[in-house]
Amino acid sequence: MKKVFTLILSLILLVSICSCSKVQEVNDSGKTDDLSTKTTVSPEETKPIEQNKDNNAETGSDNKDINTSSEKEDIPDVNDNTTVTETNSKSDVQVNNSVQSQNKNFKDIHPEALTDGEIYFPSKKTAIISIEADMKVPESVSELYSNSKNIVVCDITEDTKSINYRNIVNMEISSAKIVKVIKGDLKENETINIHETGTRKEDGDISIGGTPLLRKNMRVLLFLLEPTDTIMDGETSYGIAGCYYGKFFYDNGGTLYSAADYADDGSSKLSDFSAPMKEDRVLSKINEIKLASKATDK
Amino acid sequence: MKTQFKHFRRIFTVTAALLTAAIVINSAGAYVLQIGKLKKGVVNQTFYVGLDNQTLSAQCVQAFTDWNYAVQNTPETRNMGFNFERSSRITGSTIRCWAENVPGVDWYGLTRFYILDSNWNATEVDHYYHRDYVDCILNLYYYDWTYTMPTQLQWKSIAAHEIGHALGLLHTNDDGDRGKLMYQGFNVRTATSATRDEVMGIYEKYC
Repeated sequence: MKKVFTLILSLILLVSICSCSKVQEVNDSGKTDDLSTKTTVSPEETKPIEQNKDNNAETGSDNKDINTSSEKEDIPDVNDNTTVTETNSKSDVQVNNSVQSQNKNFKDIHPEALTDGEIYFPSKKTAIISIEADMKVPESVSELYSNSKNIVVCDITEDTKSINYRNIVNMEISSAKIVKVIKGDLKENETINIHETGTRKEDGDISIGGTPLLRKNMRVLLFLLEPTDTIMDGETSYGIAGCYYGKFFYDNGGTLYSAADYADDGSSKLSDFSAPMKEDRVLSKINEIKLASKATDK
Repeated sequence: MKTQFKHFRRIFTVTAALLTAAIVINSAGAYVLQIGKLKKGVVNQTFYVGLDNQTLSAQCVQAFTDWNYAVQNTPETRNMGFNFERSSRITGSTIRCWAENVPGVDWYGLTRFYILDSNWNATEVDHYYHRDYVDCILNLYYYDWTYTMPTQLQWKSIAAHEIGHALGLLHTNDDGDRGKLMYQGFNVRTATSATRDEVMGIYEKYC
């Protein structure tokens, strides 16, 4: 009896230790200096402030009680400076459970991308900085299906450019050549622009949820939102449904991996895509959803 | 020998029980802390709301009021001095809320951290750094006056969630945490203001 009791206690102890590990270790020495990779940007890049000041002036709406001019009298205004430095690098910071290293270059971190003619499959070990964001989280592939205007399999042909959208967020644009159309009116072999919130950097992407951004030579299954011409200033581009939830990476063996599996905060998983799946299984699953959705529509 | 073994087993059992109790109590918190926090702390701080949209603006202010209420009415944190008051000044405010129209991105709220150098130049950093001030951005593109989605309450939830990031909390994403404010996904979480769990996270962070 005592033996059983001791055994049970030991088991509880073990389980408790495991469950306790999810609370992240706190390092109170958060670093605030020695930043590298500083880029000087124009004063307009402080737009959140400038723009809202303008808006307030134009509309005279809900911030009538706010006196924006008086604040400059006693406290230096960061927006009045001629240069504002911006960085997204944490190169000098020792991060728990991270493989961040400023000396590593792209080839060290992305060895998978080296082979010509093969698909670039991102590594989970890639050093990545996470942007904190709140979103409408899809709980299943079916939900992603209904939230998407277009669903395509495509090859990323170019890391086109970076955009600082209205000085609010950085966007990365990628060119994608469509290999297969699953939903929507896009055509095979058509090339489209995909935009994603974040920044592609040599030493690791900065992205929502810390998931890899699209890179040249990737093959991906994408659930796309309605196109917009606002992000690229007149040129059409597509966003991904559910931020990274609507993105699935192919490996060289034709298996698909949900980008949500890469999220550094242990994001919720899609209920019907809990593990990597072969392409044919995924496509037949989407086909089933398509048929079910048609039946519901009727 | 047998008596000694029995004695040792008794000590082991008691130690195991005590350890178990301690660990269970400690691990009850689901909150996940960032490495960095607000340099100025959370005592008598100010926030600025620079939103033209009156409804969203009201939700932001309410989100701060809820945070104050939650921390000030929890026994462990009652005496922390936690307080965020609305300010009419942009500079000097620790947390600033904005709204911007960003189409085709599928995020509704975003948090950005900044540090200031000796010349008051702002540098954006990630959540690993202690920060001087934080911008919480709501995506106005998804604002719908009919409130089909997000609802008014969900906008407040988004604002409160971003404030949680600003204060130093990360997402909690276990399925059992859907009742927590820091659970990612305003459409799936049930909390619209800070729960005891988040409050205890703030306590651990700043006390």
